[in-house]
Amino acid sequence: MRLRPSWLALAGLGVAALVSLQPATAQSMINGFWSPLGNQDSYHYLAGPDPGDFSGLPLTDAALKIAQQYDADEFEMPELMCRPFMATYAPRAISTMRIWETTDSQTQDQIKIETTMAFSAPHRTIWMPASNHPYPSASEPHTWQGYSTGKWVGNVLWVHTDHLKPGFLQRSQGLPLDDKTTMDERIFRYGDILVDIMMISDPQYLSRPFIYSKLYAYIPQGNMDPYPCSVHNQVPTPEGYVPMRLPFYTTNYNEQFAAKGIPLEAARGGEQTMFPEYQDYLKTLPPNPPYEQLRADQQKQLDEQSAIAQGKTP
Amino acid sequence: MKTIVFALVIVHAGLVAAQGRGGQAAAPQPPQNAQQAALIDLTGYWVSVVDEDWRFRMMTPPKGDYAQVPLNTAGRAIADQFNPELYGGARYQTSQIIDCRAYGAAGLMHMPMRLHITWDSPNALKIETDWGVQTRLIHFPPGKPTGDIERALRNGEIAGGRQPASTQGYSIAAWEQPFRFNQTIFQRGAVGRGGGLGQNRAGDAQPGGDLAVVTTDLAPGWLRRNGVPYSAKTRLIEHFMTFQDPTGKDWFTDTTEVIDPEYLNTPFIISSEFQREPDASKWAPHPCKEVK
Repeated sequence: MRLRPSWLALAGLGVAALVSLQPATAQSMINGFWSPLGNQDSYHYLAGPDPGDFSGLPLTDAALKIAQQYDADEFEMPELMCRPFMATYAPRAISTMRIWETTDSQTQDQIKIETTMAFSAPHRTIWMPASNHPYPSASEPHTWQGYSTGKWVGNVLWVHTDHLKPGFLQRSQGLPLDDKTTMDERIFRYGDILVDIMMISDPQYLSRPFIYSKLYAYIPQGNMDPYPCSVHNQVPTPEGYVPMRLPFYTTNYNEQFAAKGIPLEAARGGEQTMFPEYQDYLKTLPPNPPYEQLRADQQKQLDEQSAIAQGKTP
Repeated sequence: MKTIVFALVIVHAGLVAAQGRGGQAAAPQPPQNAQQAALIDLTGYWVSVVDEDWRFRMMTPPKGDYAQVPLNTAGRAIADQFNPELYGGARYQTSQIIDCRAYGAAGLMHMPMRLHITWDSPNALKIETDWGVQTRLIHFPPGKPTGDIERALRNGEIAGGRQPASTQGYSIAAWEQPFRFNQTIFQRGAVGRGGGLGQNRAGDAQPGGDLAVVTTDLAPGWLRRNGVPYSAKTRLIEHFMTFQDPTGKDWFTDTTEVIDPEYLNTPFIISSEFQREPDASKWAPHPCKEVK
């Protein structure tokens, strides 16, 4: 029996019908522009939380020590002015997000999902299984957005991200994340609400995963302005000056923090502060000293640091 | 001729396989009740993990602090009546004297607490809390355990007035299946048949799903411990979704949309995460206070 090429092609189609029944890849229900909802935790993500308010964060002692050396004036450093938000922070920011997908023109398989945010314009790529994109080697530089892979489980997009640059957990607080940080997300949509559950793990600076759910509302006619960041010397400082505080000093609480009434011990965070039983412990904590006293104590510490920096013994 | 038959047999085999795997699968029998139809397992003990909105949840915010709540003028006027003297005076923020109005359904799930979720009957899910000592009953319409709550709301199929107003109100629910593939509008569930060469996946069942709940018939209550109010006209829309963390631990999130035409300018939308606990060993009832 001889098969002519045309029949061979037809037979090939039949085989293709068998092998093409692969798991779903093409879903577009999260594509589009999304506006962040500000009903939850937004005070942490506008200008940044108050200095020293770490309540509810599963920090290690190492993270606290680093945060205590932080000075928010570092934002004025030219080297850091245009630093983009990393993948572990950008979705939590109060900023419009755009999501789009790329599909293979022949198979219609979803190759990648990309996101960008209006503020600081971080551009992230989530590689889907059909991309067969190679995992970065250990010697490749870590990046602000890291390396993300995704898969659909029903209507939920599961994303895993690693290969990140060292960054920060929350803005303007100096809480560190190291380059072994990973993030797992579950992204899904109800009606016109998008939910991004972020689980951030860092064996160095977090004693358990930090879990955060960010909510967005769909924007039918979305738009996004460009973000042309450029460096300007807004606050004149000596060349080479790096704002920081010497180790082992208490945090520089401000008046806004004091007004919120969070007990100083609770503000140090730690995973014990995340669970309901901590409410009973809160009752036992002493009231905070008046802000005037806090400020006087902090000024004394600053004077001591200044004396040390000038080579004088306090 | 033999070649034609050979080729057709192969093509036919492909189409039959396509239909068997998704195109013309026999429709499953409808489940008898909500418990049997459950798409996710919410039963068991759960603990809220509070690393968002900490100062609004773990302690009483300062009087007059309504940050993030789209409160209108009428709502502010009521919130400003909050009297710290009734809740511990100078220590009211951490006294943990918590008014029962803060444990009404619209604010309940955002409070730090443990939950015990069980089936009260085959068509009613029961949620009990240790902090506040509250009980919610989530009712599934008999014979209709699955559905699409957004569509039901748009079509006006869900309305209040079923029961007298109460702290937890009246909750009606449906298991929501994942959306189908290749539909021109969002439709849930797996029905229909494949087309083409079996590549149309409209009939494929997908894993997962969520629980959608609408609550009405609420007595007035508080969104926060410092007296931020919601009214009896409030309607609550919730979606419960289970997920696992990277270590395999079970979680669920409850996304809550509070719609109150009396005190809110726009819906108040928040979410709360709960982690599964192995048993009741940390269950610690803390009754709320009826503060006059």
